[in-house]
Amino acid sequence: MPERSSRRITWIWLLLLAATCGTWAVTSAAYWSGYHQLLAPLLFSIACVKARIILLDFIELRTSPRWLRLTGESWLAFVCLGMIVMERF
Amino acid sequence: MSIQWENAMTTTPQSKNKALTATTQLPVEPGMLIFIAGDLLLFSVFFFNFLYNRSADPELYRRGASELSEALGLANTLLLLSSSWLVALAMHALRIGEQRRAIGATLGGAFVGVMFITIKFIEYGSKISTGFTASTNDFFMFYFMFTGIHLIHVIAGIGLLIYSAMMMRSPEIIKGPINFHAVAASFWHLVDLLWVILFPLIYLLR
Repeated sequence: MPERSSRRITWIWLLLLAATCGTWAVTSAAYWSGYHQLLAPLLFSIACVKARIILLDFIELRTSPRWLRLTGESWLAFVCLGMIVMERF
Repeated sequence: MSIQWENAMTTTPQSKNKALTATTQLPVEPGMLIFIAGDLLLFSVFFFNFLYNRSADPELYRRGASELSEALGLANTLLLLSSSWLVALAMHALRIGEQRRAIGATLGGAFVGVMFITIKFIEYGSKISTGFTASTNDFFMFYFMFTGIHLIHVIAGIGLLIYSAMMMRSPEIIKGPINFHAVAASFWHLVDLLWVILFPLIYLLR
C-alpha cells in the first residue's frame, strides 16, 4: 500500500515531467512522419492521465471519501471521452 | 457516515509516512471543493466549445496553433508542474511539523508561478507584435481568452500561496495555517490541472 511521503511526491512530479516531455516528443515525431491524424486521442488521453494523477495525488482525492474520488474521476473520464469524440466529428 | 473536513493535524506531529487509503476526511474545506468543481465544469465547457468551433474550420485552428511557440508552452507546463510539486512538498512538511521547509517550498512554488507569468507575457507580447490579437480570428480569440482566464487564476493562486507562507510563520503549528494551505494548495493544483489539458488542446493539436 503506498504511503504519503516526500519521496513519493517527487516521483510523481518526475513522472508528470516525463509524460509531458514524452507527449511533446511523440507529437513532433508524428507530425514529421505524417501520422498526426491519429494523435488527438493520444494527446487527450495522456493529458487526462496526468490530470488524474494531479487529482488523486496532489489534490489528494486518493485519501478522500470514495464518493468524491468517484465524482472526480468520472468527470475526468467524461471530459476525455468528450474531447476525443468532438475532435473526431 | 459523518464527513470531516478539518485536517487531522493536531499540535502533535504526524508520522512522516501516512498510508494512502480512502478516509472520511475531505482534502480541503467544502467551500473550496465546490469552487474547484465549478471551475472544472466551466473549463470543461471551454474545452468542448473550442473543439466544437474547431470542427467547423480545422485548418484555421491548425494554422493558428502553428503560430504558437510549442517550446514556450512546454516550458510553462514544466514550470507549473514543478511549482505544484513544491506546494505538495510544503503540505507534507506542514503535516510533519517542518515549518521552515514548508515556508520555503511554498514561496518556491510561488516564485516558479511568477516565472510562468513572465513567460506568458513574453508570449503574448510576441504574438501581439506580429499582429495576432484576440480579434484576428476565432482560434486566437480562444487562445487569448482561455489562457488569459487561466492567467488570472495563476495570479490569484500566487497571492494565496504567499499569504499561506505568511500564516506559516506562526511560532507553532496550528490548524489554521494547515487548513489555509490546503485551500491555497488545492487551488494551485487546480490551476496546474487546467493547464495540463489546455496545453495540448491549444498548442499541440494540429
